[in-house]
Formats: sequence, structure tokens, C-alpha cells
Amino acid sequence: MDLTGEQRSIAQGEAGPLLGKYMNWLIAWGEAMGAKRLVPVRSVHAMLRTPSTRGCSRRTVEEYIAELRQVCAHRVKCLTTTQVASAGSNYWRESGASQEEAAFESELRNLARRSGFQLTRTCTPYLVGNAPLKGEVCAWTESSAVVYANSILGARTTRHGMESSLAAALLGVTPAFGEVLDENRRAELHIDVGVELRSEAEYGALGFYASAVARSYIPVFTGIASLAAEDAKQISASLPYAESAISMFHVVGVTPEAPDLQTACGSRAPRVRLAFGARELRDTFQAMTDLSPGEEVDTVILGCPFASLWEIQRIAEGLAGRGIADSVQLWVATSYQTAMEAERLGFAELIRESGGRLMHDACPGSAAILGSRRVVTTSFKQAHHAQTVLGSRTAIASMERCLEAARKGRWG
Amino acid sequence: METKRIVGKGIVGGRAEGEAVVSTVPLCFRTEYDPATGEVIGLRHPLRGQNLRDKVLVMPHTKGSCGNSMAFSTGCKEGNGPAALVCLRREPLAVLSCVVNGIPMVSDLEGDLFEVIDTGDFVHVDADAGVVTVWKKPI
Repeated sequence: MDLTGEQRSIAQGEAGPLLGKYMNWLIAWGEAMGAKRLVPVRSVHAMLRTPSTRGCSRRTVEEYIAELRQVCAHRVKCLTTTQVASAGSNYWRESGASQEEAAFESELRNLARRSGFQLTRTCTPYLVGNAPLKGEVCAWTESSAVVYANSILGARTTRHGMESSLAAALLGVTPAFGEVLDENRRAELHIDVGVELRSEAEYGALGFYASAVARSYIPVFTGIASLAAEDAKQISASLPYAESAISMFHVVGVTPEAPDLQTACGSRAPRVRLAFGARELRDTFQAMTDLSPGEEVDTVILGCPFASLWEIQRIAEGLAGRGIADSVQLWVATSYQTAMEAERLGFAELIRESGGRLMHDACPGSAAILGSRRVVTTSFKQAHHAQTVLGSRTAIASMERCLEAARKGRWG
Repeated sequence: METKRIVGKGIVGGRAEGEAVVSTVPLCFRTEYDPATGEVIGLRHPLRGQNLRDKVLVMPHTKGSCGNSMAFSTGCKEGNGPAALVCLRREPLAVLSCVVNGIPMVSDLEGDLFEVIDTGDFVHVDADAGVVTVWKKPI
């Protein structure tokens, strides 16, 4: 790799052991991925948290905590928001955190303040002020946010993990490979959408279908006239989850790098063309639906990825005055920032009055503690987690149908 | 014993060997692997119940969560990480996982990987040379 003198000296340990290790990780990762250089970033979304160490040894937990303390003894080089953690939530017990994790999260909040990390605790950083513009190189973690940044914002990031996102935050650089480079942002799979998509969940289905057929190809969609941010959020959440770890999509006439099909494909013919019609839409829902019509529902999870204020308003107004069934727990997950605004505008109160719970900072879906057996959600990603991790039976539907399931305590 | 040799690209250097665990579908370490035991716990994953500790994991690539490297690293700290990764292509998080934990990785192999390696075969991975040697398990 072509390194600057400063990068080389940091790698040799001249800025201390932690930065030395992190620089070497970025270099080795970049070289393995074919990067020729490290490029500056102005936006990082970092995984600053203890991992899920349930069942792990003391030594592993302590090793992580020691490393995070060390990280926070440095300063971030640019705007750095932080990913969801299990601790720190207003419902931390329900979100599966241990007492120890919750205590460390409080310490981390103070450490983060000094080191410049914004402890935003969200999977939708673009909704809380980390919204890079077109062409900006970033280093983001969170699979759905990576897709959203590349596709909707036109920013440039590869899929970062905990180690690389922390390194990028402290060093202000990322290896230039993947979606950072022009040549890796071109669509190779053309999917013509021949059915009207009427809810965020149906856009999620489109993303899930594309993930199942995409192999390593970036998809470009035609036949979509416009897209709400909430719809884009669902495509972004689905795309890495079926079979391919895709981190970008285009919508002709809508997303910033797809004024027309030819431009989206970089003036080459797409390798594969497919049609997404009513049948594909129905089949994609069916493949992820276990619940039968009339079957009891015990959990409704909304806000995956974290809800926007507009979604919370729709939930609050959709529930207003009508309570949910006693047998159902309704969770709405969002960031602290959005939860506080929802509080001020009265939406949070409406949700509480109806028996729902607005959880901030953490995600109810990753928590086995919920004991959810029958889950309804707007999100294919959430349904995938519920099936895979919790062993739940699931169904995916529009916000309105999810709220109806919460009120009736039944699916369909 | 029958021996086969496949040539690919060494992605993360080093050499390791062990019994192969083969999945023709991708794996998400964050949601489908338990770092505390090394076991694949994804309820709908074909490798469910298999332990990856010291095994050569053969799969198309990783998928899903950006928490993949975090879960992988936790598994390695606990001594439950795989010995090596053999993949069809380089997914950034699989590569990062191997880089930060010093696990050899080979990808982009010539020929059909899944025709050559089966679960239970003994596999030597030379990621410095980009060569995978397979001793077929006796049938």
C-alpha cells in the first residue's frame, strides 16, 4: 500500500501502541481487500460498546472493557456517532443487558464525552445529524446504515466492523476499496419493479428479494417513481440479510447516482435482468411468514431500523385512544434524540397510554429475554433475527397492519 | 487416502489445518454463532449444532450484521474461533475478522469449492501460497 510518512510512523508505533495496532489493522485489511491507499474520512459511525459476552469468561469481558477505556483515552479525528448497544436503554433489562454492562455504559458515557465520540446509540445515524453528502468518504458500521449512506445519501463507505470503525475514528482514515471507489458503485443487476409497493414492509420485501438473487452484484431498480426515507430504510435493512451482503442499491430517477439506467450501470449492460412483480412480492412475504391467519400474536416490534419521528407520530396517532391487547407487548425502538422529541411532542405519551413502550438506545429484537414466540414487525431484518435468534414464528406487514395485530392480539 | 489440491488467493496470511465444516449458504457470525461455545446457533442455518472451534470453515462468504467481526473476535478470545476460513469471495467483515485475529483466509478458488470439500474432510490451508489441500474423509 502507498502510505504517507505519517501513516508509516503511526504504524511503527510512534503515536503509541493502540494507534499503532489500529493503523496496522487498517493497512492489513486494506491490502487484503485490494486497497492502494488510506483516504481521509469526515464521518464515522462506530461500534463503541462491549460485545455480547453472555457465557464468556471474565478475562474476555475485562479485555474488552480495558480496550474501550484505552480507545477513549484518545480523541476522535472527525464526527463520530455510535452504534446501538444493549445497555444504556430506558428498558435495559428487557433489552438483555447485564447489571455490569449497564454500569459500564454509564462510565462509557463520561469517557466518550472526553474523547469526542457522540454516544448517539442508534442504527440510523443519518436521522440524528450524521448525514454526509454525496461523494463524502465515511467509515460506517451497521449494515443498514451502510446501505443507506451509499445508496440514498451518495456517501461512500464499505461495511465496517467494530475494530475498523474505532480505528477510523481515532485515525481519521479508511482504506480505499469497495464502494469508496467509483468502479465499485456501478449496478450489475437490473430489477424492474412491475408492482406498486404500498408500504415500508413491501419495500423491505424488494430488498430481501434482491439480496436473495444478487450474489455480489449491486442492484438497480426501475419502476419506482419516488421513495420515502422510511421505505429506503427498509430496503437498506433487508439487502444484507437474505443471501448476499450487499451494501448499495440504485433506484433510477430517485437515488443520486442513477439519473438513468445507463449511468447507474456505468454504461455497461447489466449482467442479470429480473422482474419483481406481484408474484415475487407475495412469495417473498410468504417465505418469511410462519403465522397463520387468526393465530395469536405476543409481540409487535416497530422501529427496525430505529424509527424516525414521522414513524413514531404515525404509531402514536394510529394507536390513539385504542389500547393494545393485554397479551401483546408492543415495542417501538428509536434513538434517544428522537425519543426526547417524541416526548416533547406528546407522541411518547400516546404510545404509553395505549400500552406500548418506546425504547431508546437499544433494540428489543436482539433480546431473548422478551420470550417472544409470535412476532409481527414491519421489518424483514427483524423477522430474520426473531426467527434465527429467538426461534419465533413471524409475520411482516405494514405499520397499520402491525398496529391492528397489536390491538387484536391476533395476526391477519 | 485421496488428496486434492485447490489453488486460490491468499487473503490473510498464515497456515492452519483442521477438519472442514462446510456450508453452501452464508453465515452471520453476529446472529448465528455463539462466541461462548463456538457453536452455530442459527435456528434455520444448515450448520446448526456444529462447533467451529479449530475447524476450517468453508462457505461462500459472511452475510448480515456489521457486528460479525465483533462476534468472531469474541469467539477467538474465548478460544472458540475457527482455524482458518476458505471462502468464495472476500466479504469485508470476514476479512477484517481474520486480519484482527490472525486467522488465515483463502478465497477466489479455482473450480467448485463445494464439489471438492465436504464436512469432515481434513484440510490444510496455506494462505501465504493461496493453496488448500484436502484429504478426503474415507467413505
